[in-house]
Formats: sequence, C-alpha cells, structure tokens
Amino acid sequence: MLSSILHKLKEGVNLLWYEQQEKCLLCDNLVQETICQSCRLEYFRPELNRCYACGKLIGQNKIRCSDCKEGKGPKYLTIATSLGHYSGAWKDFIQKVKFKGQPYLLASINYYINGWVIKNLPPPDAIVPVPMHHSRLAQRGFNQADVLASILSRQLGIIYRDVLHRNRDTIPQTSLGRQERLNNVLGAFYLKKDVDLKGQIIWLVDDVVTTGTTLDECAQVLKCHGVRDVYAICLAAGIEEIQ
Amino acid sequence: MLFYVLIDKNGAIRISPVPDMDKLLKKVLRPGLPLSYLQYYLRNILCSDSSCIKKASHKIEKTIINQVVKGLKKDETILETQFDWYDEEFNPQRQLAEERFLRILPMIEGKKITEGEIAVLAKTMSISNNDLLVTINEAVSRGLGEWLPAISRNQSGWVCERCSSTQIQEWPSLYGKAATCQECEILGSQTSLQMIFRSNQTENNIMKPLFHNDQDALKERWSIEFTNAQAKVAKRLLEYSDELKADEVLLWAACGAGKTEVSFPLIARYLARGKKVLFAAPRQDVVHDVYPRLQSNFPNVPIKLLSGAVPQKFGESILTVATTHQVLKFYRHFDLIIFDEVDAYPYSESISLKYGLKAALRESGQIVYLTATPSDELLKKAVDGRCLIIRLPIRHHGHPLPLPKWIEIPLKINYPINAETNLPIVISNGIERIIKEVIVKGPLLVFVPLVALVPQWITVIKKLFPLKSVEGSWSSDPKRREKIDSLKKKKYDIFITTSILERGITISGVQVIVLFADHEIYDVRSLVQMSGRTGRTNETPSGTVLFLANRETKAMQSAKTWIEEQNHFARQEENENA
Repeated sequence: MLSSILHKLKEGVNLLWYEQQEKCLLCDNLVQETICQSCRLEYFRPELNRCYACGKLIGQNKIRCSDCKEGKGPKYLTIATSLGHYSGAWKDFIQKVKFKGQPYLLASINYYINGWVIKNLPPPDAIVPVPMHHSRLAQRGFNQADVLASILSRQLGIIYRDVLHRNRDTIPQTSLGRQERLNNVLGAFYLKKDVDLKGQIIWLVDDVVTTGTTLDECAQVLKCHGVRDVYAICLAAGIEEIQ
Repeated sequence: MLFYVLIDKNGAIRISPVPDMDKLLKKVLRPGLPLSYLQYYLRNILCSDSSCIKKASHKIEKTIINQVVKGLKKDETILETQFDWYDEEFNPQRQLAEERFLRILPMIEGKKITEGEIAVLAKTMSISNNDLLVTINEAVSRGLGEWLPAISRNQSGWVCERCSSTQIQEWPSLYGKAATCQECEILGSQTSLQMIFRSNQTENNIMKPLFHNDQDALKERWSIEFTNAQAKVAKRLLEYSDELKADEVLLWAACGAGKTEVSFPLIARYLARGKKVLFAAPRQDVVHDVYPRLQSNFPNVPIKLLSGAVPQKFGESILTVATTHQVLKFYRHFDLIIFDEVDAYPYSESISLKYGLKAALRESGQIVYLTATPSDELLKKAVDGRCLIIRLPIRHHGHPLPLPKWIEIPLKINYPINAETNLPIVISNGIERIIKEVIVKGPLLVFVPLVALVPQWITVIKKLFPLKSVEGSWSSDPKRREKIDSLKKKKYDIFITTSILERGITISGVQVIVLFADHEIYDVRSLVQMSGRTGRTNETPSGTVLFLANRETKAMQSAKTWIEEQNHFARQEENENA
C-alpha cells in the first residue's frame, strides 16, 4: 500500500517537473534537485528514528532496535546515525561509489548528508574515517569512508584526522553472521603513533553499517585512548521490521 | 589490478600482473602500481607494444624508480613512495598447464576482457582468477594480445581503451589522478586503476566450414519466400562480396521490404567459408526479434546472443547477434558485420559505438548497413563512393507505403493532465472523432514524444474509450517486454508508446497516430519509421498514418517526400521487372 502511494507520488512529481532537464541521482527522473522528493521519502525515511546504538532505522516510538536492547549491539558509541536505508537505488548508488570507481558521486550528495548530521549530532573536535586495509586500498585506489569524511570536513569546517590503522585485511562483513563479524574485526584496528585525542569528541565515518561491529571496534580503540565521545555517521543502514 | 615492472634473465624489461609466475623473472619492482601509471611514467623506457621490451642498461633500475617516484609526486599521490628491486625466483610448482592454455585461447580470441570479466570467465572455466591471469599473461608474452590500462593516459588526457571515449571523469585517488569512463558504463564501469586484455588479430581465424557447398546460398529455402525484388538484391549482395569493390554497402530498403532476410544468403556464404559473422543493431528489441529468425534459418549453426537483457556467456561462436554496446567487447574479430537499423539511437549519435563497430571488424572485413532511413553521413559516404548503395524500395507484398496525413489540432505539450483535469473540449472531441474513425480498421499505435506523456495519455484515452483495452510502454518500463509480446498478440486496442516502438516491430493491421508530430525530437527518420509500422503484412498491406500537430514542420513534410519517393522508385522497379 505504502509503496503504491509512493509510486503515485513519484509519478506526480515527475509530471510536475518533466520540463526540467536535471536527472535525479537515484531514479533518473527529471527533477530540479539532486535527489527527488519521492526518492528521499523512499530511501532516507526521515520519519523514522535511528537506533541510538547502531544507527539502524527503527519505528517512531523507539530509541533502540531490539538487538541493541538485548545488549548485542555496539557499546562504545554515544550515538550512531545513518542517512538512509540500505536498499534499492540508494544501495545501488553506494555500490557505484565503492565498486564502480565513482567516488566523485559522493560530492553531489553533501547537501543531504551535511543537513542530516548537523540535525542529529553535536559538533565534534575532529572527524575520523574508518580505515581500509592497505592491500584493499591499493586495489581500489580510494577509501569511500575517507572520501566521505573529507567532504564533511571541508563542508563543515571540522578538522579531518586519519588516525586509525587497520592491520588486518578482514573478510567483507556483508558475507558474515553477527558472531562471525565480531570475531572478524576483533583487534583489527589500532591508533597511529603519537596521536593525542584525549577528551575530544569524534565523528566516526563509514559507508554502511549493519550490526555496528566495525564501528564499535574503532570506537573502542578511540575510547581507550581517552576520547570522550564517539558519534558514528553512515550513509546507510538496515531497517528493523516495524510492527 | 596491480602490475609489476620486471627485468628478466635476458635483461629485458616487462610489465606483468603475476610476477611470481613469470618464468623469465630475475628482478621485480615492488610495490606494484596500476598499469596506467606505470605506462605513463615509463613511457620513454617501454616500447609502445606493452609486452616488450628494451634491453636494460646497468643504470636502468635506478632510472625506473626515479621516474615512478617523480611521476607519483607530480600527481600529488598520498602513497608512501618506497620502491625497491627484489631478486625473486619464479614459483615452479605453479607452472602453466599447456592444456589449460589451449582451452582458454578460443575464449579470449578476438575479445577485449575487462578486469570485471576476468572473474566471470574464470568461473566459466572452473579455474581460479589467478590461474586465468597466468594463462592470459602467457598469451600476452606469446604476442597473442596485450595488457592495456582500462583507461589510458597520455599527455593530453585520458582515453577509454574499450570505447575510445575521451569524456572521462577524473578524480583524486590514493595514487594521484585517476579516471572513470562514463560513456561505456552500461557494460560495467571502468577506471584507470583497472586493466583490460585485448587480443591481437590472429593470422588464421578460419573455422571449420559449416557447409561443404555454398553454391546454393540463393536457392536455399529461407523462412520467407523471396520476391523478385528481394532475390535480386540478395544476389547483388553476394556479387558485391565476391567483387570486394567497397568495404561498406548500404542497403536502403522501404519499411517492411524484408531487408533482414535479404542478408541471409550473404551470411550463409560467409558461414560456409568458415568466417565469423556478426549481426548487430543498436536496440535490444531489434536484436531479440532477429535472434529467433536467425535460429530458424540457420538451424545447424550455434548462434550467440549478446544484449544487456541476457546473462553474459563466454565461448566461441561463428554467428553472433549483439547490440552495438556489446560489440565494444570485441577486437578485430568479424569478417562480416550485418548492421541493422544503423541510423537508430543510440548508435547514430555515439562516436564510441561507431569506433566499436570498426574495431570489431577484421582489417579485411566487410560491413553491410541495413536501414529504411539512412543518415546524412551514410548518404554522403555513398555519394562519395566510399560505400556502395543498393536499394530495395518495394515492400514484400508489392503494395506502396501508406502516406502520412497531417491533421491540424491545437495540441500543447504542457497541459497538466491527470485523472481530475480535462483536455480542452476542442481537442478531446477532435481526438475522440479521429480515433473512432481509425480504430475500425485495426489496433492503434499512438506515439508520444516524451516518456512522461505515456501515462498521461493512457488516462486521457481510457476516459474517452472506457470499453477499449488501452495500455502503454516506454524504455524503462519494467514490463516492457511482456507488454510488447501482448501487443504482438493483439491483446490491446490502443497502445501508447514512445520512439522505442518506432522500428523493427510488425503488428498485423496496425494503424498509426503520432501525437505532437511537430515536436522537435521527431526528425524525418523517426516519422518515416513510425509511418512504416502500417501495412506490413500480406493480409493488411495498407493502413492509415496520421500526424496530429499544431503546425506542419519541415520534418513532417520531408517524411512525406521520402515516402513518396520510395513509392516512386518501387513503381519504376516494378515496371522494369515487368
């Protein structure tokens, strides 16, 4: 029902704007904005809450998802938030960025991600990307979390600090279950030499969060070195079934 | 993928993605870099042919490191530039299996294989990615192909090695400047950090002949019986291939003249001689329509179908049917290319696809263009004598093409139409009356110039004709193929569509209305093609074509002239034949 309403909405929007020659980044329909309203409603789901602990999209009356309520979620993050739901055209967009050599696409969505994080998180002292192992970085040529972090840093005037190091090339988390994920990234990160972050507030940036284990590992390392609060920002997360 | 500079036992410099498998290895420069960087930084050291080789002088090791580091720094790399030469032995436990090499060779012959396709091919061959790389690298060192960066770099910028486009998006990578090609992205994106394997043209690509006797190519029973005019043209095509007067031939046929079938005897001739044939068209619909026709006419020939709508399969084949995008995957492979609907979008506007077609043809190969509406470019070629021209103006049933008629109606493109609003009464009455008159003759195909107009006009026409079954489709419609199948089975009374159905489709008894015929996207060619949908079958050899518009454009007038001229030629031919 909801999807059919959204579809109608999308059609309506298209008809209204069809004279414009700009294409929506996600659905190719002609609009005046980077991402059209119907795509924003469908993928960013601004009406839903985000789980405080892991950033997952959850019902309006909740603050944590059921996994995190049972204590299975991240423990070192103060607040985690994600811009959208990892599905459909939004998922395709992120995969284009990561796997199809188009990191420059991230620059075109800065308006949406800036607005979202400013609204949801307190200002930090520095912004830190989740690192990629050097062998994967050598193949891909860029770290999408890094690209995103530097865009945020430049746009919002926050210091960018690439302070974390990944010492193992872990298996991609997407292929693993919850417990396996935990073991997979356990001890995979450490802080670079001579870095002092005592008492600071950090925004930790990654592309996609699923269970939050990667973010939590990074946050733990940061907190062990005296960081006061770690807030996590992701482009996309899963969604909890809404009753 | 990372490539490594090697100096082999003979002191020659090579670049390889699998240094530990190189039998001639002596020293290797680590870490590796993507091929585009190495080729660019070392362009004065490496020969143009990437597999070879200049003799290394004693200072060369230092020079190479210096040039790489200097290049990276200039590109503002964020990489730590620590390079060193290592003495390494090749790993004898993983020798190349000759049997595997021979098995893979036909799969890579005549192709361009991208980094993304390596994994697919490896899976098809049930071997590991690395084993496949070793095998292809062996092919490169035997001179059967080359490693190229997917996007090459030169002093003036970037060039995509798959589609030749120079419209490249640049971005800063770990190494420095990197680039992604947006032109051929539809085939899987490519960046300058990736590589591509390109096969060289092989000396002897003659396959085992499929038939022993090709004398009967003309007498063969094809799925349609040739009219005199068709047989004459088929014969001229065969003669042309014998005489080799020009590399290119344009077959200019009337819509519904049966031009596709006319090329079959020529295809049979090439296949009979063991040569490779490609049937290409810019549009999926055309390709999917031709494939079964080729299957039924060449029942003993394995035919490969390549389009964005079917999963990719590797394998050799003598007859290939492909969209023009898929043709970009071949290099110097085909002896004959039959190119249907040559003036259709996107081919007609794409430099890359034109390059792709030429690159897929062997140097001695021939191209036959088939179209009802040749582009100015092709016509000019014909006038200059660079392309032979053969005309087939008579439709297979011998009846003339229906002439389009302009009906003046004050249609405006920007009426906000939805379920609640109504068209001005003059227009809706006019359209109702026109459709009522036409629809008694058969199902109605209504063309609109914009995708957004399809759902609008479905609503409008449904309201006017609540008892008729009204549907519509457009290029990105997920149900496009199902709907078009239903349309062919005459399940709809009125079908609203865009230019996707302007060519290649035959629906018995169909009548055509072009709404907003004065819209700028309609050139003379699309108007002729849309008109050509009518009267295509023996049962209903005539039909009605109406252009509904506010004014008569030049394109509308020219369309009429083109069709009149074609009919005139047809009458002349008939008189000559009589």
